[in-house]
Amino acid sequence: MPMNLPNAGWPFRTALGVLFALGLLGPQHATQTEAQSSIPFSSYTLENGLHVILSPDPQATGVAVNLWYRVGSRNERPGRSGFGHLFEHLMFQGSENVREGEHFQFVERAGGNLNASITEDRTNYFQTVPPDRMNLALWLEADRMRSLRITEENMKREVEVVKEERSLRIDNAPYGTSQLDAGFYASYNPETCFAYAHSVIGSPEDLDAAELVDVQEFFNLYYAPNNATLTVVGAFDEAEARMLIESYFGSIPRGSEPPEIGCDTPFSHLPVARRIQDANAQLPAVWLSYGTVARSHPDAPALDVLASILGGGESSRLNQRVVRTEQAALQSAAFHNARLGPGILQVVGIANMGVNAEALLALLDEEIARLVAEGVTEAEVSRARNQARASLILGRQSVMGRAEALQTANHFLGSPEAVDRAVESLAAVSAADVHRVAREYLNPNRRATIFTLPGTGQEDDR
Amino acid sequence: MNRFMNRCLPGLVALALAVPALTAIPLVAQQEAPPAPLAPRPISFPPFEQFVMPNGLQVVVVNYGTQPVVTARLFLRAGEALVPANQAGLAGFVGDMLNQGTESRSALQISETIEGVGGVLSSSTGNDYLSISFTTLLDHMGVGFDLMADVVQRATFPQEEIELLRRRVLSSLQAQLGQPQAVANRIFSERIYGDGHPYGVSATPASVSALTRDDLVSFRDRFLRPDGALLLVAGGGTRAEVESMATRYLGGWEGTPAAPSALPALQERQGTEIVLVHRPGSVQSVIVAGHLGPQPGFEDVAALTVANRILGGGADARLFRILREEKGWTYGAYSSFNRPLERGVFTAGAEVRTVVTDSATVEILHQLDRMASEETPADELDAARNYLAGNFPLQLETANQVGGRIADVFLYNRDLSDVTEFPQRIRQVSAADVQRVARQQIRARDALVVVVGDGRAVLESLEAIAPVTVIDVEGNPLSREDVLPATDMPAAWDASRLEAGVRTYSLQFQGNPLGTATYRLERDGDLWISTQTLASAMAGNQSTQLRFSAEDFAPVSLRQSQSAGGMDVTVTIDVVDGRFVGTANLPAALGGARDVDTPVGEALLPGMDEYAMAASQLAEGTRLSIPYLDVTSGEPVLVEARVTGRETIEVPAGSFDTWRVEVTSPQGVLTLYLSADAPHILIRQNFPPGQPISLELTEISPL
Repeated sequence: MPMNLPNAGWPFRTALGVLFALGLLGPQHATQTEAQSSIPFSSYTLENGLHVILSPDPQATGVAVNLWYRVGSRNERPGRSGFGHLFEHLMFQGSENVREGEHFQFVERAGGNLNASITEDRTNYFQTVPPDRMNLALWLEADRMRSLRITEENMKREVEVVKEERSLRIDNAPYGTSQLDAGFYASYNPETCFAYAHSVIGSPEDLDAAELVDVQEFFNLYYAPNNATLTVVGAFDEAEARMLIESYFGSIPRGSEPPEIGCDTPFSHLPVARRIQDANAQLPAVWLSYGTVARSHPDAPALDVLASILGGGESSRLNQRVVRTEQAALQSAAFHNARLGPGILQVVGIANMGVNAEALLALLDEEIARLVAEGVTEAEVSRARNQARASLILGRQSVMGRAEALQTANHFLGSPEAVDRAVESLAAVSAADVHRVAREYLNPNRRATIFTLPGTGQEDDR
Repeated sequence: MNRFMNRCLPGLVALALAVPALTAIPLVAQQEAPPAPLAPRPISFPPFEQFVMPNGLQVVVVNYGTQPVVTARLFLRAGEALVPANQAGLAGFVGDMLNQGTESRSALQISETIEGVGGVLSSSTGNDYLSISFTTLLDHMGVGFDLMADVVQRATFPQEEIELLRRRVLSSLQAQLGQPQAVANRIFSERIYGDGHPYGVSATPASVSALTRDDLVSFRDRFLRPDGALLLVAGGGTRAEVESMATRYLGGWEGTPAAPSALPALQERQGTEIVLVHRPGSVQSVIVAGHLGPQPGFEDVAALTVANRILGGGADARLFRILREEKGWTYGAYSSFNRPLERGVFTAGAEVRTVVTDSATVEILHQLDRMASEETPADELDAARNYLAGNFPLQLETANQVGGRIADVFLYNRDLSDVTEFPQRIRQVSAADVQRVARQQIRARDALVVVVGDGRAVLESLEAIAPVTVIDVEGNPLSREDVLPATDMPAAWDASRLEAGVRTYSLQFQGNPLGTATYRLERDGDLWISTQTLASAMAGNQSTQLRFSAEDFAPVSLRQSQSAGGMDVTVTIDVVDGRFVGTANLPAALGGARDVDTPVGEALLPGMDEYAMAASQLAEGTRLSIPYLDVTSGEPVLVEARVTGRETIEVPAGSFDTWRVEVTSPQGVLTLYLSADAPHILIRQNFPPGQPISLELTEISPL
């Protein structure tokens, strides 16, 4: 179904995904002796502002048609949270020439696969189709960009579906509330950075308050060609693709420019500490979120490596000390979640039976303090770099993986050219860089500390 | 044995996509109908190379893809089917132990080495094959080969790692008893393949507990041998590079595996039969219906693939459309068939709401029958063929996907052309072909239907469909009477059979201590006074005092307090003029504060049920129905207890001869072990399947 929330999943299941899905991209260059992974492409912009990236690959067996809109939950206003996600659903409810549910059926009967997802920073719609059906996928995307059919009826129905999805995935899931409402958002000041201080899935109250006119306005503002990038990767003829794209998308009118999003002094209210009672959780958990930097900041690659050394994989410091040696946690991990705006570095632990949250926090803090005091070894940096590089390159084997890599570079670093610097920027990170960012960002006064406690009860601000 | 030796495989086969041709590209700005397909682009099935090493290891190299990555998978004829039933699970255990230590590396060194290069090393075991795989970047292929070769030849199976893994496997078997889909699949295989066929055997706590290090070593020595095994290397490596690596790391590995013993002949089923797995309290029923599948060497694969797609091979198929979209009975309903080395199975199934269990069973059988009795309409046939043929090239994107297709040909003795010409063969399947293959391979009238659900709610309605056999989740037979609610009322309880004393228990989670419980029973004139305390980091502190008649169990009073995670409970109940009167202060989630005022009747106070059982006469098959006051509802409810067996068990307090008692209450199903000697005190309590929590007696002393 078209409703996955990449950032709303389990941190452990997606350990590498969350860390590296955005690519360890950075502006620095370095000499490489290792095998290269490059993605050739061309890019241009239609008169209506639609940005197009084409990467033909005659060896491919399919075509990825991948459309990113520059809208995520960060673009929502207070009182209107969850609109971006509601749209991800409404986009499958039919348009001028496509009836409700037909988008799925057309693509499946052509042998293709499709889905959509939303994060804080963007919404994507994507299908992989056999080469001869590239035109079908393009036509379907153009039809809904031009003429999405939003009615009172389908809006209200999808509001209910989204609320049901929220209760299934968050309210009834172990750690759902603590991870989302607190783990991801508590580090941001809601007064100065609403963009990142509220959840992607939105509040049921705001969804209930949605009016047709608000929804139409949101569509007009954010689902315009000048706010989107279309990427096509795979077995196609470039001239044919250009002609089809012009034919289907060229006449869609340009929209007005969306407003800039403010996020000043996002971490001014830190430190905060909070305890959350979670009736679905069997074991206590600790979530630490340190304020960091945007994906495009020069410190971002070193922060990625730092998180990996601390808590990425079986041989990471947290797994070795807290899980294996002390047996204080079932799982422990760290992630750097960098964004268009300021990001966060998260450290997470789920306690073993008989270990309370305070005791687990003390152990996590000991390992963090040791890293800040002593730094890291070159061997650890090399392991983290290799893991990141492997994860990034493995993701590029499919046409859709390459389309996402191009979109990611374009969206977060401002240009698809940045895709080929991904691996190089990793090699430039040194043990000294990691030690410096550890000292600078792993500061107990710049973090949110969340305890999840099994059982029922109310949230309790301390 | 070398079934790979004499095959001659073409390296490159063209796959022309036989899509209806078309002419012009539409250039209308806003057209009404979706565009017709573009000109077809022929897709070539990727080339591959093969060679045999002097030690008999067959190597296939798929040099394919644009990214510098490589995956190697070593397939050994060492699956679970080679293991006797009393060692079920041995093959998978060996697979999981391989990377837990070798002659030169500890488990941690192995994980540091593979993660150090950003790679993955893992094993996977099925009925037929055990495989060991690694994935790395191309420049680290040597690290992957070194580790894979090390673990397959020189694993040391350290005893402490065996015990760690054994604990994980036992927890997971326990957890599976709480997963109805896993129960349904296990019972279906057992019944379809029958006693003595290894495809029908699954690992059990007993078989896994009995495995020894010697068993692992002996299995490895007999079956993890290169002669006739398959090494598939897919990705960036050339044949020369792979040959050099394989020679360096696997060239010194030698031996021919022991030949698998012949499997017993299979019985073809006749007639529809239902096996109901009684799982009290289930809110959904899992239905799996099917029978034995195609014989090895089956040639009508394309037609059966299309038939399955039409019936239940996705969201655009009959079972999904009818059971989910039209009826709203389920989130999903699917069918499938498999083709292992020996005979596979054909199954269809769904997870449905309890009240529609019988209707859904009838509907699934009807849809199976329709495949054979009616010709498929053209639009459904087209939708199925277009999806299967169109999606095929999209499943050849990565070297690993291509390699998987080729490996299947080698491992399961299939025709290479079934893979390379898949789209053409699919497009040639006619409605008559679908009906013909369905008549042979989809037979509603000979289907075994396994239903996992609450027998009290579904047994009688299923009996109207076909003969029903009832069993519990572990496969033990149950009678109709075991399932349908007991009507007996309690016998006259004799409280004088109880004995004063103090019992201490340890509360454990997956073998880790979680808290302590103490039960103190003392006599005060005509009354028994029971004081129970529980101290636990997780469940908080709880204390309960019960007073009841030392003659006939007549309840007198209950005082209970509990605090856990900021959630406080206090309960005060006295018996006044034949009524339970008092208050229960519960957390808001359980209804908040409540006044209790209800006739006592036959009911006991909560907590007294254990003493009632202790004072009963227990024997094999004894059934008790004990009414007690449920403080959350303020009403009496019934606990049903049934003696299901006699076992000697070990707990910290010693070894005890016990009755195993299954207790069903509104909170779920518990297993109690009560001392065989009267009074039948609690020795161990296991919480509902899926929760690896237990209470075990640590000490017993007189007052």
